[in-house]
Amino acid sequence: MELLQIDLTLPRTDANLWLVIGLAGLAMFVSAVILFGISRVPSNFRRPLVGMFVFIAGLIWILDWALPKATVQRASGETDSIIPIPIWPYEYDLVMEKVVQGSQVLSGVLLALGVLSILRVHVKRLTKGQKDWPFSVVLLGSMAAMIVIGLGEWIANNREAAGIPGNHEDMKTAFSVVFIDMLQILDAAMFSLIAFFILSAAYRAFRIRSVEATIMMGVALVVLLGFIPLAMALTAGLPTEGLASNFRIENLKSWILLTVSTPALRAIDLGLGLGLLAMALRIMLGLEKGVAVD
Amino acid sequence: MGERDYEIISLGLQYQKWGWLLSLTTVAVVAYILWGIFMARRKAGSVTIRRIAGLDQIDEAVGRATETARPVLMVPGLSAALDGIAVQALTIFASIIRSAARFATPIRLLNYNGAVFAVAQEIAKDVYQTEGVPDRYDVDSVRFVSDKQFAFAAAVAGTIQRDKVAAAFYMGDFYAESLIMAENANMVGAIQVAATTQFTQTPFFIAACDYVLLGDEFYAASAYLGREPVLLGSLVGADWAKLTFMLFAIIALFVHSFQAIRPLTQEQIQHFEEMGTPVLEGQQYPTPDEYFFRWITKVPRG
Amino acid sequence: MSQDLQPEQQRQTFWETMYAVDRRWLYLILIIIVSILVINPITVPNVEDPAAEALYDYLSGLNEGDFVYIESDWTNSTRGESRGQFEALIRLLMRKKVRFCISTLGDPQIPDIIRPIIEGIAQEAGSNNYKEGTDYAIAGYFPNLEAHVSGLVNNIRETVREKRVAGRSIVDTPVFEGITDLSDAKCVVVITGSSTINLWYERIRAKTKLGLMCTAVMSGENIPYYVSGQLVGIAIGAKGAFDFESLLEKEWPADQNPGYKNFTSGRRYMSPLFFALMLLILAVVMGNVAMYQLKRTGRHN
Repeated sequence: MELLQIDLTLPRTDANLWLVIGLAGLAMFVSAVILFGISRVPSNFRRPLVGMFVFIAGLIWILDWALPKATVQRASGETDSIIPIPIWPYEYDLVMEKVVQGSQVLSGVLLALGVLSILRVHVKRLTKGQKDWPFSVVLLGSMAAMIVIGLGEWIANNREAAGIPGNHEDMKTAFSVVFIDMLQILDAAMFSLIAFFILSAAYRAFRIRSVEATIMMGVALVVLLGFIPLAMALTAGLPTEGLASNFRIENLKSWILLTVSTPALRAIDLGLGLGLLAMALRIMLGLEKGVAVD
Repeated sequence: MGERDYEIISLGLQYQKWGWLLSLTTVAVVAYILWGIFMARRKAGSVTIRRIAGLDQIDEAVGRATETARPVLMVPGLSAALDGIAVQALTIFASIIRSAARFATPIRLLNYNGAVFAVAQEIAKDVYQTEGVPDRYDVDSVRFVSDKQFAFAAAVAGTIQRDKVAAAFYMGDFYAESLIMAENANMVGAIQVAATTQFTQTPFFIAACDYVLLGDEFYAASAYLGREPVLLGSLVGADWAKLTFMLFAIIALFVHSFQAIRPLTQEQIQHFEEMGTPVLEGQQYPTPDEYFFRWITKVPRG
Repeated sequence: MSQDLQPEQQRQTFWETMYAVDRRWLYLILIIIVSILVINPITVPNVEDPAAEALYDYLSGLNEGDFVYIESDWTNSTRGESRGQFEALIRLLMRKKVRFCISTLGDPQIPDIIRPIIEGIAQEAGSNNYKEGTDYAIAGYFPNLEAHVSGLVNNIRETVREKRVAGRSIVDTPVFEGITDLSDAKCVVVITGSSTINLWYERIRAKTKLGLMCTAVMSGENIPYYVSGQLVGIAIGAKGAFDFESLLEKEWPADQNPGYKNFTSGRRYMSPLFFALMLLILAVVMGNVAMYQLKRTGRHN
């Protein structure tokens, strides 16, 4: 009973801070030793080792899906949905949570690799004065500004929440300017470009070159017209009930979308799902072939 | 191990009602795939795979890039993590990189996700080494760009325009940015091959690209390029699963149509009510002309 | 003789031009049309989409005091479509006196974007003077998509317990009174510009109804779920927002309910959208006519 209640979170005191930093350092050292160890293992041993790790990682997720979930009533009177199988000394769900957190930490580390790649490419371009180096200046400058201002806002928020007096508003305003007023607007601008590209792509692609293309264009036009109220006026004369009502543009559009397009999409989706399942199975069982997994 | 501090009220939530059917279906599909792999391994060479035009173009596209001394662009999609889709994309890219390594064609592999980037870098390095030309590998050719969707799209579009890429390959998860990339590559006259698991983006790629792999052709690609018995076998298994689903769909079609021409009894209506899918107004007694055309647009929406 | 030839040549040049118009001309025409109509919208008639109407009817049929969970994942990049949908949804719920709680998965900034919008709508006539912490709650941003959706389905109170309003947990406010499980909510409405809805399809386990308001691009992949009954209704793109606004107007006509604001961005973005679509159709038809003419005169290879 007591084991189930182990609390690994430490109170936030200065002494504990150093303890946490020490533990993190130890964890990094141990990981480095393990990684070094793996890299020294001959490659014919490394493959089964990696394969086993992949299998276990996949199995965790399958078990999470397949182990019977239960509605339980806690001693406190609350109901909860959990997998009622404890893995000592924690409940299964807590273990699952730690796995998810671990993978998030890992993706954070890999993001740092990505940032290093950006720095390498653009610093090199800048120092060597290669073609388009001014763009690199813009990129590095905005990246630095975003990091500094983002961190500044985070610190300001935390200081404010902790009740530390000082001017916190400047940093928040700066963040709001670079994030909401600049980045998000640029995002929206990029998104809106799609309208232009749809126009030019449709103009170029929708040409009656074959029977199939003709059918596709006809159907596309009906669906497009079905979204335009002015075009709906074309068939407004048809009755709203009975057989003839089927030929009203909005009904034709609905029919095409729901009865023709939906089953086709379902079929594609089914194929994709099966393909992904087969792929996942091959990777998990170590059957996948190709450069990507060797 | 201590005592439980909870009382189980109901066990096996995901298997209740019709939930067990989902699990059974999954197990059946897995069995099909494993059986396919097993059979293909026993009789290697017994499985052939139909032509996929987009994949036949890889060498031609890379060849054209070599002639014009312009780079080949590859984008492994916008997967949020290193998932099966990204791995599949990288597997296809490995063959493209192999062709590029042979012809000494410059490549650009632009990444959205840190984990995918790390793996892509290793794969590229590996391919150049296996081809015996490690000195041709440029570390900066595999890049991480941004993990913000439209920042990524802007960067890819910029790379396309500045480097005037000769060929572009988009494989994996794509969303609204698909057309931004494809139209920009079209502007510089690149040969484009695309495959996406987000089928809403497939029409955009069809409009702007030269070749598009539809649906699960994406997953068939590695089997097509490598002709490994294991990969071909899993394709066969998945195809059998598909056929089974089709059979069930046809049976359901007849059952459903039979149901449609017969009014539901009060008992059945009651039953659906209890199941939480009440029968809608007008669906108890469909008239013949409704049945002919209009009714099928109003299938039960529960 | 030469005079006879000249018009023929000119006509062919015209069709050749029409066959391959420089894309920059198309872009220019589009930007002019859209700019004019965004600044100066034209009122267009509407025929409501049945799928959007189904969602509206379900929400409109809720009783006073019912509870709806909203997951708002849109950011500024899709606000042209999502903002109108969001506003219309909030108006409807406030007028029906339905309690709601909002969480976001897409972006940490979304709560800052939606809070002023909700507060603005709460001030309008007919909005029953909604107050945060009494009638609605903003549960804020959750970085882990899967854990959040599973958490809401498994234990809604525990998942949002940490979020506080005016010094107390939102689950201790009147908003969550009587809500112990997701099945106590009448509906989950997801407003999104990305594929976060997929998690809901996978995990909701029919605990309650699911409604979707998505961008137009996403309609294709989500309509199958409406047909299968997994979605109670679906409002698609700017048209979906306009549908909701038209239905609000039908239920609360502005001339009978002074001060009611039924139409906002949904209607404003409709006329640019319609005319852009008409330009698209025109461009496609023109390209084909040009191709036909060139083929007829043997100039097309």
